Formats: sequence, C-alpha cells, structure tokens
Amino acid sequence: MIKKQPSFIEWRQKNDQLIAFEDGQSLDQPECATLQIDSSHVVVIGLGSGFLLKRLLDAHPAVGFTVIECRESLVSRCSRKYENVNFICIESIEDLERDPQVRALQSASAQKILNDQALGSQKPFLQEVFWYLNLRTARSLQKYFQLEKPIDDRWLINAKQLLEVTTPDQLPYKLSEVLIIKELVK
Amino acid sequence: MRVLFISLLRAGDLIMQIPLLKSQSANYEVHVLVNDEFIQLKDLYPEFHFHFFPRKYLQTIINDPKTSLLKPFEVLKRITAQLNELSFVKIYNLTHNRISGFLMDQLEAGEKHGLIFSDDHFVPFKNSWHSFFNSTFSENKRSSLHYLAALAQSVDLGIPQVRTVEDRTQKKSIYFQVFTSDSKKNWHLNQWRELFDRVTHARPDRQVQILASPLEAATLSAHFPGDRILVCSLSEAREKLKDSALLVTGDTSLAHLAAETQTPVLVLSLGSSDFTKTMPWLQGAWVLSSEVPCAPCLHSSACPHSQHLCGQSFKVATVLNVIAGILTNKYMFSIASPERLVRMEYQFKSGLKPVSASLTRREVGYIEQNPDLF
Repeated sequence: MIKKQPSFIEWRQKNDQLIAFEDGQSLDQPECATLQIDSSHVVVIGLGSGFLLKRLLDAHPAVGFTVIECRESLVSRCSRKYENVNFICIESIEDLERDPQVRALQSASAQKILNDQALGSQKPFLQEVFWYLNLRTARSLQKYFQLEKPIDDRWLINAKQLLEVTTPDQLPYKLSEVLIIKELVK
Repeated sequence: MRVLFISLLRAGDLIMQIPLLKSQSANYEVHVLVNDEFIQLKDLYPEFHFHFFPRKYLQTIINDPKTSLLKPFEVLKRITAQLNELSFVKIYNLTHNRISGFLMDQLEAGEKHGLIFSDDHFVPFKNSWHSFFNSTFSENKRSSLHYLAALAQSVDLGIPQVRTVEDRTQKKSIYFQVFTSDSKKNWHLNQWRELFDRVTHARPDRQVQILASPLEAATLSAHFPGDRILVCSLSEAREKLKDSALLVTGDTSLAHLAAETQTPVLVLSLGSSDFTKTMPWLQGAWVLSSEVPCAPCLHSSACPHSQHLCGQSFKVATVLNVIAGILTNKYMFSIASPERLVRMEYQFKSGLKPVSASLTRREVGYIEQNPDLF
C-alpha cells in the first residue's frame, strides 16, 4: 500500500507571496488554472502553498471545501488562515478509511480535484487518495459496497467492472438506472 | 399541459417524427428529449421545448478515472428529476430501444406510450401495432408499412397527414447532399462528381450546389469546385430547400427536411438504408435503391464485401435519367435490375407506400426527341 514519503518542507518569500518548497523544489505558483466547479462540495487533494484553494474560495464562496493533504506543515499554516475549510491530514489510505467523513467524501455529489501542481514528492500517494475517493481502486470499491468477491486490481476500476462485481440490489440506484449505465458501457 | 416525446436515435429520425410531435402541439406544450449531440435541432424547431440526454457526456465520464465511478448514476438521476419536475401528462417513447425503455421507468406521467420498462421487466406490448413495430423494425427485414405509420400506431397516435411534393419545375437550384451518417450508405464521391458534371453540362440554366456541414466541407473541396459547395446549418439548408427544384441525397436528415418543405427529392438508398421503412414522408418522393442480394445490410455491422456492391450497381446514367424525369414532370423510366426505382405514393390506411416505378413504358427514342432530357 502506497504511503506518504518522508520529505522536508520549507517556506520561502517571493514577491510578497509565501511559497512552499518540498526537498528544495517549489510545490506550486500563485498563477494557477481556473477550474470548473459543478458541485456544492469540493474535495481538493493536495494543498501546496494554498494558491489553488484561495482561488477556488474567492471564485465560489457558497461552495464547501475539504482539503486532503499528507504534509502536516502545509496544513497547519493554511488551516489557521481558512477556518471555514475542512482540512484532513493523513499519511496512509488506512488513515483515510478511519476518517468518519470518508463515505461522504466518496459520494458522487462531492467533486474531487487533484491539485497536480502541489503534489511534489507525494504524487503517488495523493494520486492514490484521489482514485480511492473516486472509487476507482479495487480496495475502495470493496470497502464502499462491502464486497466479498475479489476484484482485479491491476488497473483502475471502470464502470464495466463495477457492474460485473456488484448486483443491482447492492447499488443505491433503481434497476432501470443501473441498466441504462450498463447499456452505455457496452 | 405538457407532453414529452423521447427520441434518442439520430437527428434524421426526429425530423421524420416531427409530424407526430405536431399532431399534439394544438392541445399540449410539446417537449422532446434527444441525444446531446443533436443540439442544433433546438434551432430547427423553436416551437418545441428541447431537453438533451447527455449520452456522449455519460460515456466520457464512465471511463474517466478523474471522475467518481458513481457520477454517471448521479447525472442520470439529475436529468430525470429535472424532467419529472415538469409534470408531463403524457410521454411517448418514439425510440424503441433499451435505453429509452429504461428511461420510461424513471419518468413520471399519467399516460405512457411505447416501449416501457417497469420495476424489473419490459411491459407487454399494448397493441398489435407495437408487436408489428418491434418485430419489423428490430430486425433486418423489409417492411409492409412505413416506419412512421407503424410507429404512430404503436404509440396510439394516428397516421400523420401525408403531404405531396410541390411543383418546382420553374425553380433553378438543384442541391446534392453527398454524405450520409454512415459510410455504407454513401455513393462513391467519383460518381457524385460525374453526376455533378453531367447535370451542370446538360442544364446550364440550373445551378447545382453541394450542401455540406462544416465538417464535410474540407473533404468535398477536393472533389467539387469550391464555389459550388454550400456550407450551412440544418436551418439554413431547410431555407434553401424551400426554393429549390430538387434535392438529390443519400438517406439523410435532409431527405426528411425535403419532405417537411415539400421539395422534390430523389433518395439514393444504399447499404443499410431500407426504402420500405424510412424514406421521406412525402407523396411523390423518389427513391433509387439496389436489389443486390446483401441489401439492405445491418446498421450495426460493416459491409462484408471488399467493395460496396450496392453503390457500384448504381449507374450515373440511371440517376441522370431519373433527375431528368423529375425536373420535367415526365416519369417514364426503364431501369434494369439490380437498380430499382420507387415512388412514395399515398395509400388509404397505410399512409405512404413505395410503389415500383422501374419499368414505366416509354416510346422508343423518347429521350433523344425530348429537349428537356439529357
């Protein structure tokens, strides 16, 4: 199981901005792309210096935000600044599974954003978290639907596999909704 | 009061089904659900309220690892919830495929017509027309009834009014629509070009133009003079057709727009196109098809031959001959098998039927003596 990698975080001042560096490499820059939000709750995976989070908060004041990060020093600085944001600091998938909010974060109504710029040395782990929350890993799918059957975990899970390993009554949807997705998967 | 029509096939199918929608518009606010790739239909029929089934979007997110595995289900739920807020009194499923049947289960209405899935099974067909429609149009066999007539009766609507082609012999414009939605249904571009040259040469008083979507224009410019390619939307094409002498086309949406505008039309019915099922709903529409043994082929499979036998069996001279007849209102043809010419004719109870016109008698030397012919 992929876990957080040991790394060293420091903050450096540049043009009135504090930028986080991980093992000597800057994590992110103040300029970041605009993202489309189509949900009332957004989960940002990877905090970095917090530039993306600030941009999202400014653009979408009515949206609720959760940030998942594995580097404590990044979280401690930003959590003081943004009190209305829910910060979760984890070092492994097991930590995430123990969090009481995980099921709500996995629901499709919470939009997940992987903050590519801010991943740094933690890219493998944070990417795994992102896929876990999107139910694209065998482990997350098994936990979410309490499945006993083994699932081929060599690749990310797709809808076809979901429909193969579950029965319609295990999914929280009407049979006809499941059958439409099954038709579209064909 | 609102009524919803579900039409989740291609744009041409909805255009053909428009008479069914119009039959309800006097008494109801008509809404229609179509696939999201046909958003241009909204401009074509502003009198109806369009909703879009996000088929392409769903197929994209289903396989996108950046999206939650459950998101397609949530999107689907949202769409049906939005439609149910409109409180439809009636829903007509004009599609007759599994997806539309399953959607009928999620949509609420006092009356539901057409293929319906409920709880865990498809509801048995309500009438014998529905059984006929299911057996004839789900399989690759010729039909004794036009698609629109069978569909209308299967969903408890009357056979739509039949309109007849207008006399446009004085009009100057002839339009070609070269491409169809499926390469199997296309006539070869070289043959279209030869037809273009011969019509242009024989009738300099008429202007032949090639109608094209923006996506088709680049391919066409390698085969036709640029000033004869008319890039336009479906709405613009419909306006052009209203003032034209003739449309020559494959089995396309434009053939059905020709029916709507009562434009003389010749359909080149090739590949999976079936002249007994989905030709323009217009008395006097002409169809040239090919009776090669493999015709019509299946929509879902590729042509089994190395070359399209049906397309090859179409001679440019035959198409020219038919065009000449249509332009002069003189219908005397002698067309040899495997080519087959039919004309859509009104018939009591069934609406329209293709009637063979391949062996119309003519006097010897008629073509040579008549200056109107090529």
